[in-house]
Amino acid sequence: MLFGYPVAEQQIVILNYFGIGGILWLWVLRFFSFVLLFVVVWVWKQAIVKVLDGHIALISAIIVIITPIFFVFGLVYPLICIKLLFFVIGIGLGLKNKIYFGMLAFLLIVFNWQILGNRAAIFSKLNMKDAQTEVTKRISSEDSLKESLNMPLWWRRISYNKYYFTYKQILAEALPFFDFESIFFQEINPFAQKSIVIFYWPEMYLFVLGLYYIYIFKNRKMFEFLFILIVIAWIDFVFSEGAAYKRLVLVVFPLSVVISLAFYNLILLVKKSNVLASLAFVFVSVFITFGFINSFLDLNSRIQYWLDNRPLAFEFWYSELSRLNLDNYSKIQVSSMIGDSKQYCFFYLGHICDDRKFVFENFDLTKDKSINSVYAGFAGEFVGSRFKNDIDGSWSNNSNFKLVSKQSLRDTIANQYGNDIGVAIVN
Amino acid sequence: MKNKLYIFLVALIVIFGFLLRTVGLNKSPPSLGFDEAALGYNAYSLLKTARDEYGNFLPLSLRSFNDYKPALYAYFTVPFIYLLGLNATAVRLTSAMAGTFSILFLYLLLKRYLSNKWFALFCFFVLSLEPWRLHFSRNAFETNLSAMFFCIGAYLLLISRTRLRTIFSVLFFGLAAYSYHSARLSAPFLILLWAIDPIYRLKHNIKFDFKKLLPLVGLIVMCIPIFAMNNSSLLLTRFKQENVFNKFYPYAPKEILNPLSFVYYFVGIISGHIFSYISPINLNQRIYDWVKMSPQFIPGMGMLGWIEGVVFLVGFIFVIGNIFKSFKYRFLIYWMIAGIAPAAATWTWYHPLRSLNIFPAVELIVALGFWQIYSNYKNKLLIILTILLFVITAIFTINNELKYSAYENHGEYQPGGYKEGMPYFASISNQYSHIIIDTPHAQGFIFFLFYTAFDPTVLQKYSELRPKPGVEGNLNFNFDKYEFRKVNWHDDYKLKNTLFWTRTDITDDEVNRVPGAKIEKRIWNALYETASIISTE
Repeated sequence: MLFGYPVAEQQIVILNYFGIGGILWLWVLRFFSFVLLFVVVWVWKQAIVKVLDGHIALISAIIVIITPIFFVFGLVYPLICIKLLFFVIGIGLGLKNKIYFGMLAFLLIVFNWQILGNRAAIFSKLNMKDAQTEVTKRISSEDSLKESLNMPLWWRRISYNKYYFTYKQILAEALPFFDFESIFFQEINPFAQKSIVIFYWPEMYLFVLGLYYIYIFKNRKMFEFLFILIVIAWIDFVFSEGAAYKRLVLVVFPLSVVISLAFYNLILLVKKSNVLASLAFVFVSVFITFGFINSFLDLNSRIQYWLDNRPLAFEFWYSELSRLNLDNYSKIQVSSMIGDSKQYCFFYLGHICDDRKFVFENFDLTKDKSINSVYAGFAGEFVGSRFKNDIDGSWSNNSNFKLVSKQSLRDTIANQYGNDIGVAIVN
Repeated sequence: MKNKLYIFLVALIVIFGFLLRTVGLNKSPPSLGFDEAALGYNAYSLLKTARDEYGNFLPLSLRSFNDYKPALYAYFTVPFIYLLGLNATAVRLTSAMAGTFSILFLYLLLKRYLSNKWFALFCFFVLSLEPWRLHFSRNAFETNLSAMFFCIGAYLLLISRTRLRTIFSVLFFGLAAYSYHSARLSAPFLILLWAIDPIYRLKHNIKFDFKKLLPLVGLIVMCIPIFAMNNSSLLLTRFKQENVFNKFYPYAPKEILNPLSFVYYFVGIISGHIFSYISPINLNQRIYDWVKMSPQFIPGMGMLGWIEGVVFLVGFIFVIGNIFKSFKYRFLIYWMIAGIAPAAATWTWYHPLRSLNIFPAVELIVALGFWQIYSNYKNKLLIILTILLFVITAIFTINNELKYSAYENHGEYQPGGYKEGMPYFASISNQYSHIIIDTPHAQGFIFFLFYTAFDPTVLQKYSELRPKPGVEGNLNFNFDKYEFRKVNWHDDYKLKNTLFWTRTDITDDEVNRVPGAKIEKRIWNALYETASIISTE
């Protein structure tokens, strides 16, 4: 169940900061996150009214609200909700004085680095070391060919140099921003990548129609507004890391305007009894409504497919540990392979986690084990890692330990350590 | 004076383009893919016997690997094989020439769409060196020949104010249909859209002139022989293998699949296929698995240069915005729709090879995007920097295609080693009564036929032995003294008077232990040891 999704890393950080834990406080935090998101939408709507029609602002706000990522941010990512609030406030201020747009872009970079802990790949490209390595590798690869066209080195050097390759590498970081598959077709993404639906695919048609209206309206103010928003979203994308939906989140706002522009004008045409527009209106309305319902059903039924599996692993470990009488054991070790397990421990088990018998580290029972201990970790930590991550289901039949419980996760979140997690006792 | 300079520069770009497409075709790409080898060998067979490798007299479709390749490419290759012999250069020259002619028509189209001739020249320079133009011209792709005919047909259709131009347009579209499957849908579809002009009709209630459908009728009549001279169900073999229903489920969640969601996802998938061709990341950078594992793979680059993919979006907005203003902008959209249609009906999301016909239209939209940016931001420093960047990127593209891709393209589809080893293998094969060829490829026999220039009259005698039409997968077959199978040295060393073409993991020791057995040669492709020639007495 979607609402049963356990506490996630960002929530843990906030709850532990205030020294609170447990499901009740988690839901209080989620409530605040959703309230924050409604404020975001409200501020956004007010900002659009200053540039465009009130109807378009309303439609844009609805489009933003119905995107699954918005719901997921409220449920799982409170820090991103705060970021979105900064963004829309910055947009509102920027409409009064453009200097705020620049400050907003800078603030977003700082927020990504400091608060979200994003270490964007672009930073490693700027010092040209990666480029130099790539140039050397490319030239030596070409030189290793036994038969090839003869091209003098000076000619190759015109483009094979660290300056051009830095440009190339920066582009490689920046260009995936223009990814319609992630923005509009996540429901049926050809890569089946781990991301959340940003827009429902029927909105792509409205987006194209919206481009037409943007061009013919020749509204310079609107055009500049959208352009600046897209540039800011692009900067945020380049200076962030992680799943596509987290990096592309800000693009939702300008694109929602383009889509709402199309939708509003479609409504106007329907009012004029335009048959084709009416058909198009019915088509997109029905499909978007279906997409909305379907997407939430899908999120609910395939939670492991859409959302991060790491919180599920921690939930499993600690719920299994809470069923054991931990006083009977001299050591309780929980893997930290996929995050700070101590932080999660405070949330699930409270302050007993401060006890010295709790150890929050990765382990390898094939090399080292303590008797009278409980271990919670990945299959590979119990039976040894496998290079190809091919640990079969029989791993739990091992005389080294007595398995209490195990669970299989959909995705590989600890490569080489298998997709199974378990809790086991070593006597 | 300026005019002469202009003409000189246009000629220079064309000549430079010709040289880039023709120089060192035998070295880069270093080895033929099996489709290239099949086209070449069938052309050779047509030259020698007027029949394809199966003995079909002057066929319109080559049965080849039971995929019924359109035969026109092979016919165009016949003169080159006559002049140069059966080798990679001869096979690829048809594509190289098509690529060169194609850029001539790119120039003519650019002049139609851009009023500033110097700007058109700049775009011509940049676009004539796009990664896809170099790559598809240096490999023997029927689709590249088809794309050239399609481009000429589209150009003539765009300017078709006279009956003669329309007739020639239909003729070229017909040739495109005879060259590659996808044009059989794209060409009539484009003519239909041109005739109806549906976007214009959204706003204007005009009477339809049925005479405008005559070119479509002409094209259909012209294409009748393709279907009449072959079993039409076999011609659709490729479509049966690749259609969208074949691999639908990986994209749609089974957990929530019901009739309603089936419609939602199915329409979504088709929409996704269509829009994938305007997704900038697909045009300039992203490489899909099915592209990477095939000869259409361009290392590190998409079909267009990195910047052009984004500029495409600017041009696209311009075209969409002006769609009611001029037919020439609508025509670009029709061209895109018609070109995408065949590819959208297959299971792959974005497939450059099947949609090659659209790329001249994509480039024109890019050119319009450049023009929009240029006319809004005429900053001299920016212009100089941009030109410099594009020149360096062009040099990178040339290096990447002519040199580096040889390193990257040694995959399943361009196995290599045959060119280096087969002439020697053929020269000693008459000393042996039994020949075993072991290749990891489903159609490995074609490399043997190609690189030994095997007598087609002998091969045609055995056509009855070959896997029947409709059979897919391993199409290797044994004939005469030739056997195509995996070599198991632990048993096969007992075979007398036998010559083996096999893999490299049979060691010198294993061979030397057998009296009379000998490693004749270890064969290297451009990068690594890839085959061994072993003989027994």
